[in-house]
Amino acid sequence: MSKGRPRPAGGRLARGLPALASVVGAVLLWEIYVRLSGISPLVLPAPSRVIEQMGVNRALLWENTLPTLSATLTGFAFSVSIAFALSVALDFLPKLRRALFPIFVVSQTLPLVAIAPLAVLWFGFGLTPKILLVALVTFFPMLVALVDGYESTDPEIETLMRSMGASRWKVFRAARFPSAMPYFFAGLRISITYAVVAAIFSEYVGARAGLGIVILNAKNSFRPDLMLAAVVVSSTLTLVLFGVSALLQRALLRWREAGQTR
Amino acid sequence: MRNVGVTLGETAVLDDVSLHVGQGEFVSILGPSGAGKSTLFRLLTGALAPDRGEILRDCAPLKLDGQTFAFMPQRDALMPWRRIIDNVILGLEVQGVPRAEARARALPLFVEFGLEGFEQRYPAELSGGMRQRAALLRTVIQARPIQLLDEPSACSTRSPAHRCSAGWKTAGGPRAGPRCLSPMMCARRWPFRIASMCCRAVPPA
Repeated sequence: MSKGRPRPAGGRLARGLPALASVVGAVLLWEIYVRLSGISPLVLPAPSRVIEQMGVNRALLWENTLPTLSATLTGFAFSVSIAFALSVALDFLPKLRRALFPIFVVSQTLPLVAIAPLAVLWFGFGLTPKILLVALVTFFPMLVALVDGYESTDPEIETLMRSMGASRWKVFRAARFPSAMPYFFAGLRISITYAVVAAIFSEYVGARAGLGIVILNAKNSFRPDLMLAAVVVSSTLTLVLFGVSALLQRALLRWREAGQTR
Repeated sequence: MRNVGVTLGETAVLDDVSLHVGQGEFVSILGPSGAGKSTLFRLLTGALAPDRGEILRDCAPLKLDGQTFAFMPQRDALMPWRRIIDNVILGLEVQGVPRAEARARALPLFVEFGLEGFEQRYPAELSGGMRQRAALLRTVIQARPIQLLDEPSACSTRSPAHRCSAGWKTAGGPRAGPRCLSPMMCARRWPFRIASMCCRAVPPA
């Protein structure tokens, strides 16, 4: 998954085959169960019906995917920028780190269920509460990834650079920052999946549009088939964002694959 | 170094060490593992301050401004994310030499260090010996008056050692005569060539 090395496409397909087979198998079992048991589609719709609903409501789903995507990406970009700026400050000022870290840890203990309605109450139905909630959920993992990443720097590289007369800022730029990049991307891949969930949940408690709203409306009109259709769309969105961050990592950290390929 | 002493925790790592290195001298420091050889280097690179005694250069207290020593750590400390050429020029970059100029200065030396063709590779793609030679080149190219080599074992293999010492002279250039402290363990196993490079052995503390 993450440790991708360039392989022939056939090899990758063969590696993905067991996963694909288990997914297809599970969906088939679900379909067979629904057909044999005659359970009402109001309780458990068959996968075929969910897929059919995705087709019928594709305009609705598409229109509502875009707001979710923009809330996710805006909130996440905001979160990553703040986390990065702060991680640099914390790296240079250990005292600040001791002062602020407990607050960040506490921020992670706040239940989203309680904070999301409050954010809507305070900031309205626009983009702001969504950005804040996505940031609340993803900020801390990104910050920890960066701070730990800086700490992972080989001490001998730092000693070497200081022996060359490098300033602290130069050591940071040339040694500590690049050392943190693998950690940064690991954090990115995990956080981006949280970000989608946080965006959908914040829509769910109050928004004009978005996948969260589709899910809410479908729930209120007893349409589990449409709910599941929206879930499939949101999962696909998450997987795509996950894949993009993995590709980004591979493109930017090509040195990590050096020496493995031969 | 005059009567230098270092105590780390309860352990007296260095006790009353005095050492004089003259202009153009190669000095190798030999001693069993844990004798404090690398600690001497940590004093000279400023990673550690002596608890007792003093370190002088040209009769004045040593300034730890990064201008005096070029240091080669025990492990090569190459940056895995930089290509070899950019690892080699790290010291020049810190000195403020523009990258393009630093690369141009480094490239001709790759042949003498047995690294030709590997300029654009990443450290992970090189053998252990080649990594050591890249680290040595990174040290030599800084053209500092004194070079500190902590176990430069890359030069223990036959042919690259000849090339390395040739490269040394080239890179040292007119400033020449790099005074070099190199703590090496297991000196008896080292080829004679190397022993001749190290003209004085100082018993460790």
